[in-house]
Amino acid sequence: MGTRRRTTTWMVLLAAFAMVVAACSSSTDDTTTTTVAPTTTAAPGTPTTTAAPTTTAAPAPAEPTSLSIAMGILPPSGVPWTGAGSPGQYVWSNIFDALTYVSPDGTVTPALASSWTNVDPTTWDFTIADGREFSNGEAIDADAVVATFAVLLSEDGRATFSASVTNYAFIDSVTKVDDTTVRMVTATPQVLLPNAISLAYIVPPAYYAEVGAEGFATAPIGSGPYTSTSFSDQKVELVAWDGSWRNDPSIDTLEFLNINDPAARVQALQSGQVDVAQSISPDQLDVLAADGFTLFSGGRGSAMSLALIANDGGPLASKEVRQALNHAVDKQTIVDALLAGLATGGVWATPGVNGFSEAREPYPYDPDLAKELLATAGFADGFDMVAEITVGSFPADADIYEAMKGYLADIGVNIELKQIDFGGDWLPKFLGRDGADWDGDAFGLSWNSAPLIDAIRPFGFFSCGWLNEFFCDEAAEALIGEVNGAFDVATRNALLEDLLAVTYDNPSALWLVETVELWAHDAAVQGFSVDAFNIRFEDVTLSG
Amino acid sequence: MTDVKPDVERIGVTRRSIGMLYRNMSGLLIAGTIGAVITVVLAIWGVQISGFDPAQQSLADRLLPPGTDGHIFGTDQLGRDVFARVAVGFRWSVPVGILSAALACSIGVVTGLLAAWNTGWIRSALTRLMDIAISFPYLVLAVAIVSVVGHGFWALVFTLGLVSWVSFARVVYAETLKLKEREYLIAARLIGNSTFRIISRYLARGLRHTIAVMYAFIFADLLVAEAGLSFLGLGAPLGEPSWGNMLATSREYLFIAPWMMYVPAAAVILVVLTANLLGDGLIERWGRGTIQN
Amino acid sequence: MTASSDVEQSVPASEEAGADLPTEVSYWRYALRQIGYRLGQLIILLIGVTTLLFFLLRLTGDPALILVGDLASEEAIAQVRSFYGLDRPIIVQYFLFLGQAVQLNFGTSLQSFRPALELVLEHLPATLVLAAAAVSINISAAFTFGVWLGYRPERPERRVGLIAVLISQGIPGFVVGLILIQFFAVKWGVLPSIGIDGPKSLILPAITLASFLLPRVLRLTASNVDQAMRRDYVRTARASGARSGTVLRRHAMPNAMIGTVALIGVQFGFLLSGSLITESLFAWPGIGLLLIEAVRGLDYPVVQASVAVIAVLVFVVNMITDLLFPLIDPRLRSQRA
Repeated sequence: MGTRRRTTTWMVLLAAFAMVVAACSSSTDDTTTTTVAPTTTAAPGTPTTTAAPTTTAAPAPAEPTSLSIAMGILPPSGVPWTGAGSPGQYVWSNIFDALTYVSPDGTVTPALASSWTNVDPTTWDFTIADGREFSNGEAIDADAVVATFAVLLSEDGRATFSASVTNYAFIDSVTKVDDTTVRMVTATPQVLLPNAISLAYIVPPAYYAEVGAEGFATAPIGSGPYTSTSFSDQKVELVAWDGSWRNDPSIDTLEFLNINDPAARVQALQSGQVDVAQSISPDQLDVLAADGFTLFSGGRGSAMSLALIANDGGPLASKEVRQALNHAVDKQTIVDALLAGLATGGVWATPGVNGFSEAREPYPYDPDLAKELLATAGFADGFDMVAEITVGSFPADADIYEAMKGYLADIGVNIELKQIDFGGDWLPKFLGRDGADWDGDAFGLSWNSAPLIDAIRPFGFFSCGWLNEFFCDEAAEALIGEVNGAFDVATRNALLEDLLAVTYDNPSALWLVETVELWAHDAAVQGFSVDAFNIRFEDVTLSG
Repeated sequence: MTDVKPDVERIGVTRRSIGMLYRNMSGLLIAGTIGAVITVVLAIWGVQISGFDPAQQSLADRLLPPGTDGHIFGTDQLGRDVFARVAVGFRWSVPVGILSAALACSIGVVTGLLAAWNTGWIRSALTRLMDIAISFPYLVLAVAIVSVVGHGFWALVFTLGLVSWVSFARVVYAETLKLKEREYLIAARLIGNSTFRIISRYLARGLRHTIAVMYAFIFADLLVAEAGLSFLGLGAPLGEPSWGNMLATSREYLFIAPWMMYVPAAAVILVVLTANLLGDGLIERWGRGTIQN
Repeated sequence: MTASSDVEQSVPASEEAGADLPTEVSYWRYALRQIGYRLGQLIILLIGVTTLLFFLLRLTGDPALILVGDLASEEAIAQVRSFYGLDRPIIVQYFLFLGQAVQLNFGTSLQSFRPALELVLEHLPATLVLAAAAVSINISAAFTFGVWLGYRPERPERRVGLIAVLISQGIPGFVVGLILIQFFAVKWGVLPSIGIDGPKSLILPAITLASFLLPRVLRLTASNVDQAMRRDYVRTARASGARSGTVLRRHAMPNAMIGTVALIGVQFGFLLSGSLITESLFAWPGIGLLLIEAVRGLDYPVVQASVAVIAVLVFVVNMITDLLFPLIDPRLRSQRA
């Protein structure tokens, strides 16, 4: 064997490695060059506890300011109608506006529509605020609104944008009355229509018609204070647009990053690579607070519960048993230990949602009473049950279910937790599709109140006519009908209160806790708040 | 042939390593046996030694550091004793590893043997099947299995077994091809032995050592792979004391309560080392006569 | 036995190619023929993978339900199903899919409205870079540390090294990643840990991904070097006065490296699944993350396209490693001569 040949071989091998290395570096360069927005985020070297990167450039106003936000997941695209809550709203609400906006206290306020009136219970006239435009220069007028709803309510739109349209699918027609007036007609009276359409973001009609959903996905255009410079499922970059009708943003660029792993999100924050992080585990609170970060429990939480299947006979058919289960779990201790004391325990409607009442206290923790109630119902020795749950949607949700299991064991109710998959298993069972049905006696059910911010939403699930009915209370059923039919807010709220009282007495679920969405941000970030499901970054500033 | 190393070594069957430390085979086997004894003792009496009920929660005692209130290795995020849970995990994770490696072994050996013994379209089809298995992302497979069977012990066994069978298949295939050329096998065929008899009597004898060694290594790999599945939410069911679950949970507590990671990781390492020691010991014992040829 | 039989056996897929024995003069012709032959196999593989996947995916759930959400009505579900053709018989759906797939059309993402294949290819470079870097790290470590460990394994410091390698085999990859981030990004602030932002940002994810395979690669290399050094011809060479460094370089290392390259080739698919975990720790915009989201959202077209692309990738890497064998192993050449 010749030396020459061996040398050749090694050279070939080396060349192969060189190619690999070259591929590495060149591809990395490619990716970097496509990054348009300048990132002035702290280099990793910045000490974690000091202020945000931009503060080092103290009083120089010319220096562009930027904010990096670590999200647990990003919206799939810039088309703003593919989801009704987190994570889409957090991003989209900075680019887009709807006709209305639901403010943090649950009241509906004007957005692109300056006012609206009921011509009759099924006819609404919305007046479009005059003289506003989209960031590409198209006018925001009746035509734009009609065109957007034409897309959404078309047969294709109802299918492809179902997650959004489902909330206002009852709209029969949207027509132009004049340049600033749009008329909406619904099949039945819908007192919450202004709430429902707060998700129907209005898009520039000519641009949308030109690029379609596919083009819009990566280059969305709206009327909000930020416009998008790049939009992918991994990274969204927004740049301030001072032509918006909303407040002028103080921060020039926003960068939303998809950091899937919760532990890595915390590390990204601690290392100064991001300024804000979403969905922080409550157990990280102390560490982050000690490092000088500000923690913020924001957004409308979901009510997390264990829905009890009362229709199939067995122990859960008894009202006393269902009450007993609610008495058996120490919600407050769970909140204190697992959610850092930031949530409310045992609620149907979370605080801030229309229908929440301080006066209606959660079932108190009283294991003795729970045992008595079980005995009354004839189950003094307890019983076994199976619950199908999904986990990983909310902070500490798995731990909360496990803690619940521990408390129920104390009164002799042995519950087996069966973890199932949301899309493949839970949804078909919940909706009763294609013969799917629950295998257990209870299932995890969490609901938020978007977009209505009203306690009525989950009643659909607990009603006699639900797609896969599991609970039916005639008294409640009658009230649900009355609430939905009411066309006067005061009357409706009084009926809603009655309905909640009936439900409280005859519980359809074991109400666990309000879930928390914990945000953490650098101390330099000021004015950060989360309204319902929106973060208005135009109100956020960086302090010096 | 004699000078060229057998293929099995190339793709990592004879990944001897501890064998390099001790030239003497009985040392390896003794060390492996000691590891196995510790494993069995912890599996049987570990919970008693810890002094706690592994399922007993106490939210007031969560995240206690090792040594607090009699918790030798501290408590987890629900106030359960970490030692007790890791100990009871021997009864969960080790059987998962053993059974999934056994499943992988059965499928792999049958596929590999059939592919090597036959020629023509059966071989082509089976080798293509191995290609498919090797390039199919396990995430999709795991999700599909979980959707059909649900989260659970058997789902985990199937998932781990189905992602690793192809390693067995490839090695058995390569080994069988070589054995087929051996004089004694050719002779056995010429004498007129039935295929079944040849496979069960002669081939099985030739392959058993390779398979046993490979089994030990795959078992060790699967113990670690279980943690990866838990990380992706496809592992053991909620609340089950599997090491994979504990390790996946511990990542959020890595810098708050690191013992939640150390203790299950130590258990995994103990079993992985034991399996490796036994595997290497077996190679040393059988090595010259079989695998090397 | 000839050299090619070894190559052939190490990867079963090439068994029929045995007729094309690489002779000394015609390595490149051999390589070209191999590639042509393998392309035929690739088509069979792709049909197999996509078919298996198509039916497996249907087991994971109904995307219409995800798209509609929990407020679904019968009507909305029916609308979505009919729009995406999900209401047709599954076998009709399959052939429609296959008809489109052969034209490299995997459909449009149900979540993001973009052509699925385009979306996947957009994420491919990041994964390729990461995987290439991880493979380079593995090979470099094998060449240096692995050879060092196996050269004189009885020395105490090498024993300690070997034990460390064995122990590291029991540590899951995500723990490695989180610890790296904690030290290099959080504590010392010297390396970035999120996204792609210059070559520096490649370092931590690449090491993390490499760690999924590294213990095995080191063990195998060390073991092969150790065995090679104990072979007769090596002993003879040493006895006849060759310097041990030369012996190592000429005989033991090529021998050991062929095993290492084969291991990496065979385990490349496994390495890619490690990228699922790595990418979600480092916000690395590769296929792994895309696949996780697509599987969760039952975004069939994107899952189909990602899996097809991954299959091609694994296949190509295996083909390359096969073609490398005759180049690496000096004995293969000497036997041919």
